[in-house]
Amino acid sequence: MKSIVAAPAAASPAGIAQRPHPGLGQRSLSLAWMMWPAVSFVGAMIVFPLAYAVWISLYDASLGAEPRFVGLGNYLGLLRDPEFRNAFKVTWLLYAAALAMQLVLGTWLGVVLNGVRWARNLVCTIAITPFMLPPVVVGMMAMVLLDPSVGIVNWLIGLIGMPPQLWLAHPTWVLASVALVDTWQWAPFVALLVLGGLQSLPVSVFEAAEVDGVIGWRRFVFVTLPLLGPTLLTAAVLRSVDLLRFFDLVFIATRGGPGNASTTMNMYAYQQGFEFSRFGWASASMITLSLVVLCTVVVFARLRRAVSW
Amino acid sequence: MSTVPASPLHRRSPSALLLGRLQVVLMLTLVLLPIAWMLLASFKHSVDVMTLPPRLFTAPTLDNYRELFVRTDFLHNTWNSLVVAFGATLLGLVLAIPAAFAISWHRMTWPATLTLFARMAPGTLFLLPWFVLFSKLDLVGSYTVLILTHGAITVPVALWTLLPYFDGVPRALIESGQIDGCRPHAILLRIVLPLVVPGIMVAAILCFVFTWNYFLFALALSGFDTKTAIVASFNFVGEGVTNWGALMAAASMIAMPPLVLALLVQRRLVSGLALGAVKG
Amino acid sequence: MNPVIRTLALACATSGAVLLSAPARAQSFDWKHFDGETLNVLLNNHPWSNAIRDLAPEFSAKTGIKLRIELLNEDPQRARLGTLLQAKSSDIDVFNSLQIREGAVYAKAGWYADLTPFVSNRALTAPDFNLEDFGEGLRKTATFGGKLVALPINVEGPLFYWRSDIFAKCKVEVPAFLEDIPLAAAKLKACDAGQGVWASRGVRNAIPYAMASFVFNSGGDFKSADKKQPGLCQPKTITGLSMYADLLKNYGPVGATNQSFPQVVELLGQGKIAMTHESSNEFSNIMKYPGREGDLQIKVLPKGRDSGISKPVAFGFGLSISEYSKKKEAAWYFVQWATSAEVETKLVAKGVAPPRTSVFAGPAMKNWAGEKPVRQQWADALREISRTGTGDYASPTDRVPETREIIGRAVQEVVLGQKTAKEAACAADIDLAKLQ
Repeated sequence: MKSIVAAPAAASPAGIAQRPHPGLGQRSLSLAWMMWPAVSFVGAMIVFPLAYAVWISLYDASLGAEPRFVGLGNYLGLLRDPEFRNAFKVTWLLYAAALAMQLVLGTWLGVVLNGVRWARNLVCTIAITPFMLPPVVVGMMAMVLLDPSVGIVNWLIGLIGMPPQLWLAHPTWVLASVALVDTWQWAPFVALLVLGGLQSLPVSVFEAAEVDGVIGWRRFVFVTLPLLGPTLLTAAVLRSVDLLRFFDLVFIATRGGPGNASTTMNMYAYQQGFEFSRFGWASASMITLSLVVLCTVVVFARLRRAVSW
Repeated sequence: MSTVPASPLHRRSPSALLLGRLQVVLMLTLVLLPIAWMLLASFKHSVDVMTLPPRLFTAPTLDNYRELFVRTDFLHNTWNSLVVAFGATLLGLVLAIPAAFAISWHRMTWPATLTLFARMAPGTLFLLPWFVLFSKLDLVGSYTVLILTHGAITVPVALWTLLPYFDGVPRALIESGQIDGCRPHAILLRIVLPLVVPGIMVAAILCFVFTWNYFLFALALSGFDTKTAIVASFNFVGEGVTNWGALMAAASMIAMPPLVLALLVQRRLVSGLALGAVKG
Repeated sequence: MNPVIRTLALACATSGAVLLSAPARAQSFDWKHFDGETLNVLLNNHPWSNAIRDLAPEFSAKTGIKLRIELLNEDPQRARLGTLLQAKSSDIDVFNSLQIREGAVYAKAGWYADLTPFVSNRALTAPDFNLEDFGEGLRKTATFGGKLVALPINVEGPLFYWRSDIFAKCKVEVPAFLEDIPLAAAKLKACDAGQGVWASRGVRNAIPYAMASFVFNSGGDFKSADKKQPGLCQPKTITGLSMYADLLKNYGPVGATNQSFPQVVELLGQGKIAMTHESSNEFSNIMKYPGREGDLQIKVLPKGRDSGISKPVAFGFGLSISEYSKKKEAAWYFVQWATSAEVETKLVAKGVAPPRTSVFAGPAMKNWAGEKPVRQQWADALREISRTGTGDYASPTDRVPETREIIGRAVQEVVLGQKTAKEAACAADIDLAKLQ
């Protein structure tokens, strides 16, 4: 098995990147300056807001009250606040469920699209429609279509004899429903990445696998999937940054409920800042959330190095 | 272009073929049903939108679209959205293309992670400080500020999308260009760029869509004349004014430009994502 | 020239100059005084806002002031307003807000311009303006620290809507007292199992609005007896709270805790429920559904049998001038026009209940209400809640939005069966106390 997977690295120079070898070109070609415009631009745009947010988070600042310096008081308070801890838990549960669903279903979808012979372009275009819709729209539609009493989905499943489900109103399983809706929107995005990945895998690998007698499901698991590793990692990183900052859907479709069963960290921070006007506290929540996302991205970046190079 | 064959040495059995077709149909149905509902609802009166059992084909009405164009300054707002989205996409690509080239060549990771910082913090973190900063610079309400702020979204997205493509360009090609005496920017423009065009198409689409659908920055920073469609148009559901029909009409109209764009480049999109992704 | 004549001429010229430069006090009010100005108005999505936007050309024709009206849903409007006013931006001249919810905090932050000097300035205020025409309760709600921060633009509050035909069919008497409502619900359910009975707001921060009168009419309050502490844990408050929660739990639709006014209106409009306690604003929406004009009836939530109290919820949004606006006087022209008797009369037909007593009693209202009996009921109910209603249904604190969340959550816990009413209410009091 290992030999089959390793083969492409040597076999397709136009494909997977190779180890650097010292040579005249490598040593003297310095392109580092080319990245500075992008890095400086982003840095310049975010440095002031980040600094401001960190500075405000060190104060007990609310609307209409005098700000009072508290140092790390807000952060310590957040760690102790049961609402924030709940939001932390909700965020991770939702993230794990949604990411898993999107990667699995996206891969399945990509494989299916790959097998399409007829009108592939049209089918692929239709397949990417969901993530072109604004999140606000998807939220409103979810709220309306999945309403347990007036929503059409329950009516449809009632036609085939199933009892009405609570969907977004379920105190325990609301996150599953939210993850489902988000998957509807974003699995197609993953599917296209996977489809592309499949399309540029060399045929030779699969012919070798055939010769070795590896076909069907085993071929998928032991040959295709490992080769798709880099693709899936890219998809995972891009989705992770957005899933950890989950907001629109839970804000519009469930308002963080029932109770606070679907209040994510981002929604918590929004409420504290924009509804309760507790700016210092809200900033601390936002900085904490940013750190959480940063750690996750760093983990994925390390993984990427291991998988790709 | 090579494709993973379903089973090159074995004929696909009829049942496998049927299963494959069923999966495609199932997938298309799941994707299309909500969208079809949205489109149908945009042609109904509000009171008919959610009636159960659903009346699929009520007499269609154009009132919702009429209200959209009369009540809101919809065409003007769409124009603003187009300006901002194209501007931010251009900015993202212009900055990200050389950066991806450099980062890929030198096998760095920290710059890519750093640009992603802008996508790690919740959008609301930026609202007040940016507003204060840009009103001091007297830029609030201009296209400039909208393009710059959305650039903070497009640059990382474009960069990360382009990286796998640049990683896939053979290093020998670049080295030979240098040996031939080409300056770095010439290497980029003449040798490398043609090979990564599909990736640029992909990045462009993603930048456009992400900017087009992004609400928060424009909410605070756009002026009366530069208000984007997404901010201006979703004001049909509130207490005493629940207007589902108009909301769905707004949603249908807002979804049009990204879809049209995707249709125009979808060939490149599919093959584009293909080439790039596996290398990443 | 003759020195006498010269002196006289000089005297005439001087006095003429003095007269011409006389202070504004002596000039009369002129609508066109700010001709050519442009105002930025930020409103939230509300029947009043939509109607005013349609009437805006009339204002511009009358005064020559150009209006740039931005209409956003409640949450984005609050986010934009908050961001701009925190930055002390002059980009907003006029905005509307809810005094009973954010009034105290906004006033403390200094965001509202004091309207009192404008009202008393005869040169800037139309002679027929008449501030006393606004109900005293409404005026008081809009006053903070002696400053008048807003002019009321409407009156609204939850009303009891019921289907007279369903009640008649099941031979159930229309509830005359608060305690009769659950009894009627039980009878209706027994009569026709397929007919939904009740629905009301179940989303966390929306619950207090619909529930407050249940508490008040049971003799309870959200404040303690000395008005200094949260009062959820009092027996009569718990009675009201549990009545509301039980109605939702036992007779409410599936998934009630995720429902707010859109779903309630949909259910009532489609005929899927028999009664509800929902906003007066929704009246025109509900009437759009076929049949409802004929079979729906409206009144104020019945008073408690034991307590004898009828204390409905009533409030209005307020139109304010931003303290950071650079065009306050021109803004005042818009504010007084939008709240004038003339404009309010026109808004009646669009389902906006006027805060001016004169308009409420006026011919336009009579004509419109006289066209259909249910309209008359709506108007009568609104007149009653304007008189007897209150906008205060929070524990004693300025942090009102947070009280809505805490109280709403307590009710949700009861509806979902996670806690008893007493447990939930007393736990909520502990959280509410932290806000003081």
